Amino acid sequence: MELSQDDIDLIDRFNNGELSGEELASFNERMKDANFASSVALYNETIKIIRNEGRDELRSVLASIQSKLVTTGGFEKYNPGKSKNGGDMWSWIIGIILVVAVVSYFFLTGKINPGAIKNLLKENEVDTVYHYIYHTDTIVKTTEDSVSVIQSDSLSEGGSRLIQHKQNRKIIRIDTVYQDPKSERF
Amino acid sequence: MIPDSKLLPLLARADSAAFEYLYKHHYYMVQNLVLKNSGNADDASDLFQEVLIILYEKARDQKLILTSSLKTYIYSIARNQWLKKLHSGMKNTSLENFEEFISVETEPEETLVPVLNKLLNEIGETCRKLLVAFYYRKKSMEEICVELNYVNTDSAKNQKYKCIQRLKKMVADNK
Repeated sequence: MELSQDDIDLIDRFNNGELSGEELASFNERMKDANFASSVALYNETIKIIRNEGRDELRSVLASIQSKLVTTGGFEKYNPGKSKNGGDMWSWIIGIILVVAVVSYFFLTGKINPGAIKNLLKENEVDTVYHYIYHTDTIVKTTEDSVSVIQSDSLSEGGSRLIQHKQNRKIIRIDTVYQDPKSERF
Repeated sequence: MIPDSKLLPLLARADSAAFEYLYKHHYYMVQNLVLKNSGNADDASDLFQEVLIILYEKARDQKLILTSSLKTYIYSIARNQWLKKLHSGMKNTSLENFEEFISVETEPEETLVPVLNKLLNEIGETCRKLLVAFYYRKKSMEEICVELNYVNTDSAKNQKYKCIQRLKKMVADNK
């Protein structure tokens, strides 16, 4: 049975679920006719072929896109380890290893010594000095606040005090000091 | 980055830029799924094409309502299709997953007698383009008029009728 253009429009609308209740009832009634039903089946088979052709066309387009990207290396690498906030766990690990390696290198090669770092951190302590008291038989080592007698045979009432920088041992000044007779403090 | 909401209309029009974007950003994810689950690079390539075809058809029919990201949707379709493939090949069907996935309904593949597949090549380029535009890409007669340079929609509609009748006859003769 030859389908008319109106029949084809009707079948298309049926296939798209566009028929109203009355139209659908009328269509179902016509489908009871074996000739019409067979023509509809042949038409639907033909549409399948067209859809298949459409998919094949699309496959060709997709294959050419893929081929182009393979040539240009345009794919973005898949990284399942990447966290949802965009941070990269491996970048952090590598960064930490690098920092530890650099710091270890400078420590081991002596380019950084803990004393220097301490001195830098405690810049206010630059005034901390050792005081050396020179007198006949007496060598007294002091700090800013206290005096410790290193060697004392006859501690005299006075002497000279050399004030050195704690780290570089530079003599800052020489003072004349006198012993407090009530204590060992100067 | 193109937001998913802007990508969908491009996808519904089968825009090459949309497909290229999806290849760039999601191909390796699907490839990884296949390679880690008994497949090879060719399987991955075929699977990604199938995923994009399903995605396009859903977008074209306005059946693509995203309840999660497009990436999750792509992964879910890929997983679903790859499981079907593994089932049909009787391979090990437990999948190692790398991304979250959702349940996505996909229509069963239409199977045809192989000889019928070649019939469209025999009815001429004009008919082939017209029928594919109307029945697969679901273009309106107005859009087909512009795209294929018909004088008016009636002319395009008449031509379509002649083409489908010719093809139908060829199908009937080859059955």
